[in-house]
Amino acid sequence: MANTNLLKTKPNPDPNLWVKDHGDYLYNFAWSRVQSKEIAEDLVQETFISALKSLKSFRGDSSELTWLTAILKRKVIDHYRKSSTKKEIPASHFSSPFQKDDAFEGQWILERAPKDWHENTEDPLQQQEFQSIMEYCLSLLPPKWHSVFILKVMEEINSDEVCKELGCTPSNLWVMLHRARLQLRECIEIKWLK
Amino acid sequence: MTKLKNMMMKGMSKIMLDCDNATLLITKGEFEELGCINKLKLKMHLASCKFCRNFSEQSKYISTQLNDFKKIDPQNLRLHLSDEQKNRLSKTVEEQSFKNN
Repeated sequence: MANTNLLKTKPNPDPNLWVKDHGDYLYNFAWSRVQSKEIAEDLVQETFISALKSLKSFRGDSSELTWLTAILKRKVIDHYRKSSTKKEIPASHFSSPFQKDDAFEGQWILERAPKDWHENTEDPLQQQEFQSIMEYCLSLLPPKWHSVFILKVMEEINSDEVCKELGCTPSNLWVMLHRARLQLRECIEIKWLK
Repeated sequence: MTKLKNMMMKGMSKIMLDCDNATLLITKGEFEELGCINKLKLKMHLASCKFCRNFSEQSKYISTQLNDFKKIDPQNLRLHLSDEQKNRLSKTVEEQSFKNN
């Protein structure tokens, strides 16, 4: 409470207090979006640098933290734009869970078909475990799929915007999102349902 | 006879979705309105496919969990910067402020 009062009476941001006041929050925000502590720290650092450069543009319409978070959000998108333009190993690491035989083409391979999660989703203990498994499985996604998945599903940025940032076509975007979902789901199932 | 059978198969595949396409539509449908025909096709497929019904439920579950995951509660932070990290960041802020002046 004391903190918010302080902000109201102080129209000018005080960069010397940023790390102490907002460091942890921004770090958690970044980490939840990139699933890497190192990258998260880098992004917070870049955020502070950008914020200092545009200190004059801070008008106090929003709180200091809201302003810093908006800058960080942009940094997250930039990070994903950069990482998705890096050349990556062709998508051969994706093994489709669907059959390729003529007669059964496009149907689930039985051993890899989605199982029933109810027993786990209804158990509070298992629910707690879910988030750390999800975080781990997200970090295993190939960079480009990871980018698409985070920007679209987590940041809820519209498809045109995501395509503009990442340089992909809309149909391409759906295929990547589809595969990311399939891989994420299967990874979670293997780790979670024992 | 085989010709007729082939034609029927082709016709069926136009109406029937396979699981690959059904799950793609499930994902798409979470973000945008599907057309009437696709909606119907998906409904028909889900009525007869337990696996894709599981997939659909799981997708929703994952999305809700992701939504929780992305909300950062200042009172209940998962991670904390180490002193070393804080020092590094403070140094950056100091140096950058100096440059700006």
